[in-house]
Amino acid sequence: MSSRFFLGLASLLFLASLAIGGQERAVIEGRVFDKETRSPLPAYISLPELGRGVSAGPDGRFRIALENRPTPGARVKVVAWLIGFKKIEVEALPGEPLSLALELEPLPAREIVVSADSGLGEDKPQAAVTLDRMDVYRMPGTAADPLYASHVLPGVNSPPDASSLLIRGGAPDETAYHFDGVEIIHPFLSQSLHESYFSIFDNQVVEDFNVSTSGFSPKFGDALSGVMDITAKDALFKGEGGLGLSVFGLNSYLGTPLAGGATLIGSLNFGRSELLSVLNGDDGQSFATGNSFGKLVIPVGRAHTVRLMGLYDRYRFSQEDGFRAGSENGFAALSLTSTPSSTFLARLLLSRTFYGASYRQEGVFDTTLSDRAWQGRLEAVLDLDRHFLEAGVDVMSRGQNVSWDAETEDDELVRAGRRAVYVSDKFRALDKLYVTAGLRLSSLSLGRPGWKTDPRVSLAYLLTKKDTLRISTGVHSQYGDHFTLAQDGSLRPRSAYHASLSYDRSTDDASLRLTAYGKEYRSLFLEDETGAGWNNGGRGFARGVEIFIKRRGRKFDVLGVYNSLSSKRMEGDVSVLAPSPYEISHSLTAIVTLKGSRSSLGVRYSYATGRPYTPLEERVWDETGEFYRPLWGEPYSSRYPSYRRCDINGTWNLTLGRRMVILYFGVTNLFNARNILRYEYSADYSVRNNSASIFGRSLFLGLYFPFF
Amino acid sequence: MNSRSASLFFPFLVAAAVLAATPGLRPEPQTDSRIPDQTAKIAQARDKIQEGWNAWNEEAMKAGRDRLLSLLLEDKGINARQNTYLYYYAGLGEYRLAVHAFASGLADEAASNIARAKKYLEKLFELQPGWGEPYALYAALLGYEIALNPDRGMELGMKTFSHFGRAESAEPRNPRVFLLKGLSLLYWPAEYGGGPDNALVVLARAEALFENDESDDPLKPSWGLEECLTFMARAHVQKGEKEKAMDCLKRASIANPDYGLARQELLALQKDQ
Repeated sequence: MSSRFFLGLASLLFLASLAIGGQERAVIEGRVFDKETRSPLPAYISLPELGRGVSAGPDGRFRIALENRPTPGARVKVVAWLIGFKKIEVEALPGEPLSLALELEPLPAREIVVSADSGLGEDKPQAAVTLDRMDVYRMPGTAADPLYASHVLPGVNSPPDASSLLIRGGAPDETAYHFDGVEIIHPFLSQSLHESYFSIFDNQVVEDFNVSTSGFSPKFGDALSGVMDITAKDALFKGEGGLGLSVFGLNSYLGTPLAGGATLIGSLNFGRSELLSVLNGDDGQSFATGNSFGKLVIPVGRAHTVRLMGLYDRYRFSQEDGFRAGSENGFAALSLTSTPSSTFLARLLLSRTFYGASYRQEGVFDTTLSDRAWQGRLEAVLDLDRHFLEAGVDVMSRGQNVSWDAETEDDELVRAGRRAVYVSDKFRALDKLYVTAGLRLSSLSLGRPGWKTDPRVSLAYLLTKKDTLRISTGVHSQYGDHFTLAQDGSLRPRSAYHASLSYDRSTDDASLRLTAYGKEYRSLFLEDETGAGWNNGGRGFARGVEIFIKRRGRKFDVLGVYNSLSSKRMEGDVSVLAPSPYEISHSLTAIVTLKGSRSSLGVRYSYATGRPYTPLEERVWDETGEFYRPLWGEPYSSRYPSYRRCDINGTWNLTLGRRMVILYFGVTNLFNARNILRYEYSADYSVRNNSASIFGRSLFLGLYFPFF
Repeated sequence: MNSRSASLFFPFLVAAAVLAATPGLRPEPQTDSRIPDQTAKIAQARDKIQEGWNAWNEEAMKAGRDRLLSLLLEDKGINARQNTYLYYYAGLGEYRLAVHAFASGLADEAASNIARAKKYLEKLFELQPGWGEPYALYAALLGYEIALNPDRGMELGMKTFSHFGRAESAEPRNPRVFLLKGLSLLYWPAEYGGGPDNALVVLARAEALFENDESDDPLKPSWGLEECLTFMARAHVQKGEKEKAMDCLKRASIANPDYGLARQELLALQKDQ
């Protein structure tokens, strides 16, 4: 009996264990992860039919016990969702481990950078190469100038000396500059025959900028190689400012909200070179600068905003030998922006830009230039989530005047009107494929009459949320020098056909971009064989590859850029396809910035292959004119020595009383490398002088008091 | 107008016609009457998060957050205004879980909570751009992000200022905007405008604004007075003003008798005396 009892008890226990085991299996459990990266996701898992749900843990695992045992074989509906990912629904058998892969939600069209733009911004657009604001301040050798800072972006081949941007082998004048929508024709503080130094843009008032090296938006035109688009700070919700004192001078900035939601932004800077010269042992020349910027943002009702802006920049330069140069540069602008809904924006911008420069050598020359323009721009933006539509009209009336010598010769005057219309649609063709297609039509009152049509298409394919492949192609036209166009009424605008392929990998702390591109130049201005006129027979190309790497660590940041370029041009008085004077075959920049809690130290090394120049073969005596004539070699068949420079800078944040003070220093060209920019010859061509970079070893010191 | 100048405008007119023919714009959030049942469910979930916050109970906060997510996922009978509150409270829930994880030394979990909270709030920026409070919550999250990544202090610090400024500009009489700003200021260095003195000024303003923080809307946020008083107490403690601190903590305990942090800090101060 006892054995029967124990057998019965054992059977009961066995059956009970089966039942309990069965209840234990009545669960929905599994793991949820990112379909692309396979990393676990803390998604919310819901059983809508049973009214149950739970968030997965940090390891992506979840387990929901079912209150009632479902019918054997019956499936349960499971929904998984996490913000930013697509919701998925599956049917599951209780007890069967689930693997749920969530896919990213497609991003709205506006959130994707379709062309391979690079720039500065607080927010990193999806998979784009960006510098943040601190990068610009910490970067050695840039003097916190946005133009100098942009030299480290991929596709910009400029050596660190000159401000002008050589984009993918293009000439300096092939880049357009826009500041808050105003086209700035002369963006440089100091502009001379060969080089331009520093920009008129004060980094204190710059909100962000981007540099487009190909496939740029049809809203930008009259540029063959690239566009730098700078946006000034705008509506502020809290006051901010700063006061800086350095061996060069004083700089100040104030941004403050006003009553009624208005904002005032202003900056005022003065600089003189004397103290800098004493510190660095330079003499024989001096310069002074003054720069001011003001912007008033006034909301009118809920849907409209009026903006008034003005920028004025002054530069004076003098040498002991009597040479004097000076310039005045700036603009005034008024804009009205209307946003009747959160998806539609229209903006009207009217502006007046002015530039005047003078170059004088007592008794030798007295040249003055003036360049003034009226601009009007009307643009509309419609955001339909899947489509991001832009259209607009821009017109410009520009007058230029050159007086070679006020006393002896007549002025040269040229006036021109430029008109353009554009339309562009950035749209999501597929979940992961974004397309920008656009068209720009433009005409100029000089040269051959008619409209020039520039179609442009760019594609961005999101391979993963961190990897993007971009292809851009398009036609870009530029009218070129107005004096040349005025000479010959049959000249067409110059054209460049761009094609580029980029791969971007962008994570929270690192960016990589690899690019291959080709640019074919057509209709470049070529001197007639007689030398008396011009034609559109010029052509050329620029082809290359670029590598950009940036990594941000807790203790240090690293940035590296390498550009390789091959470029030839037949242009101007060069009637054969010769190496381009802007061909820097290889350029490399490496920057390491060490970061402490209250200090930073940056080291930058720049290397660039020397640019091509036309060598002097020999000089021959001209019996009739009784002077030496140069006999030049093959055009651009020699190269200047390569360029090398090492810069360092550092900051140290101190607390004085309860205020923060930033002490900063910079050493430009630490090893005092003598970089040759060009050769100049004596009047009889017997002596060749090396014209070296103005950036010898120099020390810069300053203090900055930020206000929050 | 001659034909040449007329041709100038033709492409623009075509573009304008295309724009005019495009489908209607996204509707603005509706303000019509709510379905009471869903309102009650949102309120229950919100209260569950508050219950967890009062008791420093992670599981309760998670349960409240999960109820909100369940409603977001259901998307049935939820109108646009309720939808904005769902995102708001989901963001607040993640914020509080982030604070809990941060205080517990779980940096990865805190970062994950912060990332999710930011996404909910970013969604709110789109849904209701004129609402200031989400910007303040976002700014407070950035403060925690700086604590997790000190090397990004300068970059995120400026963004924090900007978001608090935006919140204040949009809602100058919202006490939680000033509460969140005051909490952040308490832990910022004095040279950045932080420290106990500056924090107290802002928290006192928040406290004053809480007096008029009443609404007929059952879903409108109404939390924060007890936190405001508790953190005023902390600021006073930092300044060595224990009596003032105890007074604040007593008032915090009256404002919300369930709020554990106020009781705990009051006990600690009493013990010290």
